[in-house]
Amino acid sequence: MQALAAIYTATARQFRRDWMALLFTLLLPLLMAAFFGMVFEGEPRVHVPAMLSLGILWLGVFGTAPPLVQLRELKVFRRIRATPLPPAVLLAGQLAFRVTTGMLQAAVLLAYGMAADGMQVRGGWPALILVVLLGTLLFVALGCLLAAVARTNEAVIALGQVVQFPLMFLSGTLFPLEMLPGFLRPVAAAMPLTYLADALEQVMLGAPGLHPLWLDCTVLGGLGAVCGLLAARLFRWE
Amino acid sequence: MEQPVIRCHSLTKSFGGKRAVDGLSFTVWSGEVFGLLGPNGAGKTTTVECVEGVQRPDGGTVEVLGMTHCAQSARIKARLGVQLQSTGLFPGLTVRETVDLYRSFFPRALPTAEVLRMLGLTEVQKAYPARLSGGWRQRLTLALALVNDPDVLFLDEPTTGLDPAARREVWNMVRDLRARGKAVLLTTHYMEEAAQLCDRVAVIDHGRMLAEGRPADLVRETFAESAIEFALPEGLNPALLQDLPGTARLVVQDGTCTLYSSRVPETVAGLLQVSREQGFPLERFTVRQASLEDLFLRLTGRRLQAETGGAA
Repeated sequence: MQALAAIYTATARQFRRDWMALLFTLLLPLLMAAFFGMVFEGEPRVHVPAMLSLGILWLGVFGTAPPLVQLRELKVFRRIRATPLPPAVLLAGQLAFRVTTGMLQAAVLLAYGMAADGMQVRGGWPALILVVLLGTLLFVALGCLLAAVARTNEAVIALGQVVQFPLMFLSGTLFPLEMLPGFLRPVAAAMPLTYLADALEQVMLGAPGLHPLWLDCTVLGGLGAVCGLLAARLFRWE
Repeated sequence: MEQPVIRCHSLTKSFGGKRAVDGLSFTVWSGEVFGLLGPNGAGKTTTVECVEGVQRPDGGTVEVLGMTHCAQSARIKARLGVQLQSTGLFPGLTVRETVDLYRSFFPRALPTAEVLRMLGLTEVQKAYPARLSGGWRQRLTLALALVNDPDVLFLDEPTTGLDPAARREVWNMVRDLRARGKAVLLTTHYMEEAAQLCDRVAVIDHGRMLAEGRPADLVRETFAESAIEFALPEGLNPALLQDLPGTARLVVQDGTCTLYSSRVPETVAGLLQVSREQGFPLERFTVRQASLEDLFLRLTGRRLQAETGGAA
């Protein structure tokens, strides 16, 4: 328990001193939500769920994968294996920190939505917490998978870009799916980020969904499990 | 009471079909500093990692503090102190935060302030590892090895990159630990370090044991001779020196000619005579006792010191 708390604190400190992780997970989603709110007509709150899903994507791609590769490159994991700390505790501490970060992202964007135009959580708090949790677990698992595949710091950042662009542009987070050419729409509909954005829009805005909420949640959970298992199979400590 | 702390028997480990460790056996006792000497790629690190429980050996047995890693790895690791070269440092944590973190991994640990004081790290406790010089980082990795007041200490090239004063400090620290009955297993490529600090050394290459024993005994057993050294003049055929009186062997490496002789005055007289007749100068001329370095050169065909550049 003491070790878990210490890993959590160490992860938080490392994160706090990592400008790229901070920028992409906390600052950029908020700035983009505010920017879209000012540029486009309509209520500012409609951009909150999409920006939250982007923030959660970045939490995995930039807030999880590069720090893990960095710790591996600096042989921190190798050194820790010579201590009695079980690897599961090391992972759990890292994961726990990112789950709370996902919740913090949701809180920050909600606070903005509430301040900007009195946004309410239409689908209820438990549903919101569940969707944020499933989304965070999915993209953190994806980040672990990227860290497992990439060998160096440079490689993991390049790989992150390759993964994030199709997810970002083919998910209805930056612009509506209807704007896409017909042949891309089924591709976009199948993107993991689409399911997260869809679920968040239903829960936060009470919007009619692309899919039923239970389907969104099942896909998020299922993909998360697949990514997590793959990452566990492929991850190298050194 | 001296007790066996580490027992390795017929240890083997291969990577991709290449044998890194090939049937190594040795015992380290409590209150003893045991040195593993060998060129890069000799299998030192792999051996140490098998004993630490970081690597799983392919064959043979490893017993640490009477336990095996298969059965009780966590209990063994709780009593080990491990120092790897400048590794294990989180980039986003200060010196103090790093020590705190490693303390949390152990069921029993010394107070942070005491660990910092022990290694003279108190003044840099708020610095980040990236800002520290090599010497300070080395102290920090040593601090991490000592947080749990270990019974067995593993030091991987503990004084590489340190200035002579810092090196002596580390040596004194290791001697203190030995005096308190701890066992220390270290790897080094400083001959002086091995000679000064180690009670026993094992010379290994290609994963095999070439020699084991007290440094002075090993040298005496292998060399009844002293070493006469000088810079080999250009154009001189070393074969001319082969038959000087008392010369047991002649080694030429890196422009230095070494004659091992059991009758130093006769050999030197002969050498001076050849020098006069052939008209070549004797530069950097020294006579010294044969050392671990000579032993190492003879056993492995390589100099140990020359490895320093490659390791960094």
